[in-house]
Amino acid sequence: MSVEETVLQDAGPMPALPPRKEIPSWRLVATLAVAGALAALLLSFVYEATKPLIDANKAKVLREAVAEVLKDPQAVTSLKVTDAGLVADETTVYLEEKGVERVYLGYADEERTRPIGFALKGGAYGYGSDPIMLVFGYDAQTDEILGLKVLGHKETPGIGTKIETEDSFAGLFWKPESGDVPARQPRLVGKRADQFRSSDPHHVDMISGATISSKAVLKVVNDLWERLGERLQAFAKKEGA
Amino acid sequence: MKPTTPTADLVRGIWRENPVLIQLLGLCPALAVTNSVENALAMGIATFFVLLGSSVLVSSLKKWIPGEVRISTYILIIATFVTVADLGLEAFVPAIHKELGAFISLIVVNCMILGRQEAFASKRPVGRAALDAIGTGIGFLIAMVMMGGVREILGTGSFLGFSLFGPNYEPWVVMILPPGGFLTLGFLLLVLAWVERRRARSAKPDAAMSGAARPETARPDAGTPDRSAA
Amino acid sequence: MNQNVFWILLSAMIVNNFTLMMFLGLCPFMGVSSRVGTAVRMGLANIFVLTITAICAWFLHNFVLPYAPYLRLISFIVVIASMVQITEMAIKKLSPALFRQLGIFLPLITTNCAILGMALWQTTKYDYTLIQGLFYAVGAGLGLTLALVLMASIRENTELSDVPSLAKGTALTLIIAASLSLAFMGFSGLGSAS
Repeated sequence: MSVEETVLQDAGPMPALPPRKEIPSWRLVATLAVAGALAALLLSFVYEATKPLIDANKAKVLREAVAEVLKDPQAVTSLKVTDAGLVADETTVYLEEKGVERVYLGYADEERTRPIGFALKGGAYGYGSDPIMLVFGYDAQTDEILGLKVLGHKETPGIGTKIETEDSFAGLFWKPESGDVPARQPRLVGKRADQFRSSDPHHVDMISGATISSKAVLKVVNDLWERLGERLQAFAKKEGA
Repeated sequence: MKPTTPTADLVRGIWRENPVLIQLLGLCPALAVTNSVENALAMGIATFFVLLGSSVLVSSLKKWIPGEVRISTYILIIATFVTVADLGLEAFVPAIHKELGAFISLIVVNCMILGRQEAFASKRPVGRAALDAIGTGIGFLIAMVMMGGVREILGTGSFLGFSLFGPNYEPWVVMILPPGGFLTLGFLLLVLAWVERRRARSAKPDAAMSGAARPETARPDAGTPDRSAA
Repeated sequence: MNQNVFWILLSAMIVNNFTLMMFLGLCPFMGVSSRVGTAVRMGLANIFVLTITAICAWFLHNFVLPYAPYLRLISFIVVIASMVQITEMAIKKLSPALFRQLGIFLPLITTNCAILGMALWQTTKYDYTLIQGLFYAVGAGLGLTLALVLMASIRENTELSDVPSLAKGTALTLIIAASLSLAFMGFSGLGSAS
């Protein structure tokens, strides 16, 4: 009897109190490991399920921007930028890959015989905490800017945001449609922003109060032109001939 | 812990113990992404989802989570839900995801969520934990929309993108910039303290003097580090 | 884009100050900013954890996460929690006096969003190299410390001033923070496009 009693007495408080302290450390580690493994498993499924959508969204943004700056091309080829020159992809790739730079060549017809121009993407810091990202169209044969579209920025609302909204600035980069009365001459690139004079036909007026943001936009255009211009022109010559 | 009624669990977090305005938890997102009502709503809904999911899961798994590693396990659970929310937003509303950026991921370190797990979900049945999470989540959402509303209306002259004052309104741009976040929350707290004091005075006209001290005592002091916000 | 380490440090510290411009690390900013001495120690502890986290985050980002990008958040938060734990143990062993002074603030660093935010931005937004990442982390830590010390100095001075009783406490701290943030906005655009 006494033995049974002690057993009962011992068994009574056992489940309630001591387990808090007597959990062996392997069980703690095991709990965390199981939780981690389950979390990783769940997330890998969610990731796989959402990845196509996410990629499609990203590609859509770039595809629409390219179509906008090149004025509705009928066909677009993506070109990888290499040291030697531009290499065309088999199928048009809009999704960005790490370490690969691409430019886009738009054609006015589906047979890809009449090129419109290149679309280039780049970014530079303006006033905001993030760089101003933009895409612009560039006609390598005439050395003209065809159009410009800001993809994203964190410029001061109401001031730096004018790079997108102010026609007298963003509008400068637009080539007038044929038939329209050309309000302004299409702009040429190739000069640094500070070298422009107001009498110069290449001159782009800075937005007053948003000089840094405006200069950042010009910097993107000028830097890309300086870095890729020759390769683009060489490719255009080869293709166009 | 005192027993509470389900209604009390649900209602408590909405206003009386509002996580942002009264408990000063989760200040990080309340200041960072409330520059427009749309962003504030998206952030509030994402946080609501994470809070509800983690509370239900923590509450139903509480028997199997050893006390020594409970905080790590809660963080793991919260991080999983946050990643799901992050991927979901990126897949279905990419524009808002881009605006909120890394602040969605930073829901993980929102003290409000971890606090509800530790203080409530880990000790209560699933139903109650869910009610509490819904209440707290709605309270957070209300605070976010209040902040976002004030900042967007003053800062851009519009609400949810609809112009309110016409083209002649010169927006207070500073309100949607970082200083505006601090300023809005500061003045919101002032107004709440004022309302609270008025109420205390009209409820007990004879105790006007003691009522004056109430706002400070009703609110956890910012000087105590263990209650202040993420 | 400016990738020079000096600019990275200056940008993280002042131009995009973590606390006043990005709202990160508000936890210690509101809680531990009543005394300058504590503020400095808290800042130093943060710099230390930020630096170690930057190294780990860089390693994870380059060698582990390419294979499992969905584990970014989980792995970062686990790393930060363990680093804080290790820091805590190290300080306890090496300097019990400092450990007592830091007290409750040390474990709180885990839920300081500045640490996780720094790790996330360092890897996903900027994709820094290890050296750049280290400068970024130190800059962020110095920025936090600067904000904490500024706030603590002002709060020490306002302690005895005649503030309306309604505004005492958090509301006053937030309004002071607003003016500090306004002052820091003057640095925006520093070091950007020519």
